[in-house]
Amino acid sequence: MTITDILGKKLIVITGKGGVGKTTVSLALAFLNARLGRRPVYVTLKEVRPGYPFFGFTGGVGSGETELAPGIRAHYIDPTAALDEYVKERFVRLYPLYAAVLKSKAVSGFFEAAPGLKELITIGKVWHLGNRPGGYDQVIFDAPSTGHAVPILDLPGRVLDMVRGGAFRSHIEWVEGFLKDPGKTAVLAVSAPEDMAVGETLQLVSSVREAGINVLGAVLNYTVKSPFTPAEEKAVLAAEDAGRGGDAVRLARLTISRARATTKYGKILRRSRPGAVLGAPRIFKKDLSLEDLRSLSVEIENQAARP
Amino acid sequence: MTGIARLVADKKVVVSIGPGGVGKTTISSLLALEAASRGRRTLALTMDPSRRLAQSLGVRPDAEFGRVTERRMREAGFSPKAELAVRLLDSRATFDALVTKTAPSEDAARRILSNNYYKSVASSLAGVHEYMAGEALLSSFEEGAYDLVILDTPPAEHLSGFLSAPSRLAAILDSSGFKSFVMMDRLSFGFTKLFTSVSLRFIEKIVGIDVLHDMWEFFSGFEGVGEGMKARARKTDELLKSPGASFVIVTSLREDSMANAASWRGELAAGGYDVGGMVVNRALFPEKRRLRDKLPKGFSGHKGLASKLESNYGLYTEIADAEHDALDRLRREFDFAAVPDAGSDITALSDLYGLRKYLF
Repeated sequence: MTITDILGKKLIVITGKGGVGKTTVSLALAFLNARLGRRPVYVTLKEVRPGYPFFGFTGGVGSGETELAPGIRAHYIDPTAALDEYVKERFVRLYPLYAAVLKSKAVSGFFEAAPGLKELITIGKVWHLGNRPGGYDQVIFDAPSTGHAVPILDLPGRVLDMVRGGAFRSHIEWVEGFLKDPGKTAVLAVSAPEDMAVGETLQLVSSVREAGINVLGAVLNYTVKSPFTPAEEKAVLAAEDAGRGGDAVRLARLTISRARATTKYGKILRRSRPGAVLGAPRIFKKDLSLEDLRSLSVEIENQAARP
Repeated sequence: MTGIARLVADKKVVVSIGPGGVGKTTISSLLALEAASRGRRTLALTMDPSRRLAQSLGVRPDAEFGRVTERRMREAGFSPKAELAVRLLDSRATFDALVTKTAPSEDAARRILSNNYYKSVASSLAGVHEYMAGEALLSSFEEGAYDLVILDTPPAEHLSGFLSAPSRLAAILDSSGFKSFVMMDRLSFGFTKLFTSVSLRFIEKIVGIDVLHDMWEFFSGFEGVGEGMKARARKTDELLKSPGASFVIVTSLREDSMANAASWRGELAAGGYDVGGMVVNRALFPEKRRLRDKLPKGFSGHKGLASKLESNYGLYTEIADAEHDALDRLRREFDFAAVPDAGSDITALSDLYGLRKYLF
């Protein structure tokens, strides 16, 4: 995975198991873009209310553009508002009438239940952010976790059989068109050196490929390197087992087991060929700041530059 | 006895909630093992354990149900007095069973189960997973074979994901619009006549007539079932609010996760639900004391090692201080149990046993 592979796509979809650091990796990619003089946008489906902790930024991320740091812009997409906009664009003349209809309980209930409608219109909106005049160079979509993301990504294929007419059919075909175009869209899976996270990544990669969507690779987050030689590791583990050494030895043991997990799950991940695998080192802090994400983006850039 | 110990000893239903990735499944499994150790016949309902944890819990690959025998628990260090049953939640199967249970006739159930819309879309509607988790809890409870049922809920961003799922789903499946369409149809205005209404013309323009037809067929057949589902959802909610039920909130020490936990706690209490415990999982430094023993002893023979130990130790001091402060802050507000990060996967029963002392 080279920098060009990453930056060459208009839309990068980031997904993985809950807790692996999807948002961290998404924002690090935004920083990478910005450092190279490009205009990225970070897109989320989770509203961040003002005052709520978000990498030290407390202004919240709502509908419309929020600048998290110089050059790092974020958007929250509200599916209901996206549907309203879609109708507005489609039916310019009749919009006032349809807007009223949309607000009625019956019709809004219908749209909640209509196959894939909200999800596909939301994805369309995500894409649109990068493709309207004066839009962004790259859209980094911090997608929901695996269990919810795969059903969205393979949605066009599933609902095309059902939706045989209407304006929505051409919308689905359009979404399918850009999702399945490997030059435009790619999925980047985020994983962690743990049994469940890696298991989910492997499943994710195969489901996404089955849906005909390009997988760029995986980022193994929270990697740890052991500073100890094998003989030193042995001495540390023996001391810990004998109950000697206190906190320093306990923490050495923690580093050793994390480093071993990094090696083990790195191998499992690479063996299954999810594309290139980049490592994102664990940052030793309880909470990350935007500045930490900037450093992480440098690390990712260095790794991607290596042959 | 700690608050959490009281829950597994007394309650009939315990529900664990928390955001994705905090280790809810680990904590729920531990609660279930503890209950069985206290002689209570226990069922653990869980969403998505890792394959190896599922195996440890006695669930074979591709099976939905398993048992942890007393012998296996004893081998891991527990002193069991009852068996533990484990069931993996399967939304689709629960939905099918619910349709069969609530449909007015076998024929009606078959019509729904074979409908295009039901088959490809209904099980991925928003709120279905949460709704079905509640339904599985209620039906397991009604079986009456267990003293305690522990539910590990699907990961949620918002508490409302679990609590309001039944009413949201009911609103979708029972939308007054479709109801009135059905009524108009019965009053023999005719199907085509419906399209004179602006709403339907609008819907048709967007999704086309085929979808409308599939959905129409589904919703007409679903009318009776919807009522039954609503009644079941009400019963689940009554069960969750009963004195025999309690919630356990699982969080990490990350600021956003703690902010969630605090607001969920308030929402639950305001809604009339009991919050019986809070677990801070994956803390690196769950103890009250600050880090000490900075200089490692007994490594005089390894000169380089001592300095490596010291610099490795240095990596963790910032987290240790931040966690210490966060735990202090939390301690002033809530009663909670802190469980350490094991540094590796929790997959064997003996790994779970190792965490036992932090909860009970």
